[in-house]
Amino acid sequence: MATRKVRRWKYIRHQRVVERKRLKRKRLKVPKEKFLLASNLNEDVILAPEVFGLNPRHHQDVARFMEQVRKAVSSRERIVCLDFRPTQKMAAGATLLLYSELHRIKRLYPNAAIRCVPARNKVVGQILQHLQIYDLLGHDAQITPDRKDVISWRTATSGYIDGNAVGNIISQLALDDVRAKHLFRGATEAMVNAINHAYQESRNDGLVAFTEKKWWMFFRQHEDKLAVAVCDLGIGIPRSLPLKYASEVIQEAMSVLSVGYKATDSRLIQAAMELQRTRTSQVGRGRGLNDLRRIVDEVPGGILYIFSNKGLVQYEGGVFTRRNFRISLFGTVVLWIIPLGGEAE
Amino acid sequence: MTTLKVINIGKQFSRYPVGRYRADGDSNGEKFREDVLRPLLVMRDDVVIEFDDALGYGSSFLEEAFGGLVRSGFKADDLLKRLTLNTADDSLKKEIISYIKEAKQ
Repeated sequence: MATRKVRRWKYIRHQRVVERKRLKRKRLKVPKEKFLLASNLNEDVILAPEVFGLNPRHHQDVARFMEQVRKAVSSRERIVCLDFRPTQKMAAGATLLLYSELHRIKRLYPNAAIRCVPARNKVVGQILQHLQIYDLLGHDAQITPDRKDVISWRTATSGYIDGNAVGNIISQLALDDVRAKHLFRGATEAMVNAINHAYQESRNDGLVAFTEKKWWMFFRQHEDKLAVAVCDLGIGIPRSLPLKYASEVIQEAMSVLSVGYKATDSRLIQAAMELQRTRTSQVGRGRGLNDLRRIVDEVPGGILYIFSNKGLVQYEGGVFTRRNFRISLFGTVVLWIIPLGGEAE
Repeated sequence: MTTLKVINIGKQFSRYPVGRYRADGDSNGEKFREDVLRPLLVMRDDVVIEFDDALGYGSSFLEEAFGGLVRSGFKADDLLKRLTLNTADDSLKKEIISYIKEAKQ
């Protein structure tokens, strides 16, 4: 009788532990097994997210995946295997982040043993092949990308402010003068921001120090929309802002945005835009980050997203919205979605 | 001094002008100011600048090229009289004028 009671008590205790763990996972909203490092003796297998996207539903999955990759590579103990089998969709911003991070890792650790398991999804496979991510990971895929929505992806990257690299691509896109002009302005200012401000301090990401100042850019024209993304893997706008302005100036700019003075990453991003709008008369200051929104002001239906570290500022129809995430991207991704139909103003 | 000189940025300097300082690549505002604009302003009374053959202009380029003239000793009023800014884009013209007016010597 006593034994049955003990067994019953142990069973109830076990159920409680299981339930507590289940609730904890639910609170995190990310099933633990999604990021499980399926390890064997020689390698760490990291499962890629189902969707490479930076929207609020997928941001955490992508940021955590990138964190896992950096961690596994920096340990330098075992082979790192990126398993793309779960991936069903790749959007421009998050794919650029993956592309940039892998290029950076390969520069930092040229001898790192990184391989991949190819995607099951055919479109994802074509994207990874077209962007030469498979090449980078040593996978010899027998795929010839032929889908229009895949081969329309174009890339540019440089270690300096390279107007020709960006201008040549924009000139080849079927854009009217207004769109081309404002896109060039926005894209080059994002590039200027990356080179001049993003690499002032260490990224503190657990990897060895990266001394190159680099930016990466994607253009993707599909149906009636153009997506353009610019990425740097630096300290992010929330960390670079205090290096440029005194804390009272930043506090003042943040107080204009909304009630509350908590310096979240998204508030700091918007404060950076506000400061550059109001302080252009000062010696040597341009409109900087405000140039990023010009094309959205001129083209109805355009959207600007600025993801930097844990923050997101979205600008659409003259209205800003902010959001903060749990995990930092360790860098900045500026993304424009520009409708190609209709008249620009 | 001789009278008038026309400079077409897109055709004679760069179709893709970008960046502020010389360290910012090949087609920056400082280079345009020091190698093109300043010598012309020293030698000529009036300078006409054609803007529309370049793909676009970032604010860093424009501020350094035109605001930088004021910081390096030119009077804003004098510049506004001597420079003719030719562009179909009124907002671009206004922006350049604001950089000249707001730059501090």
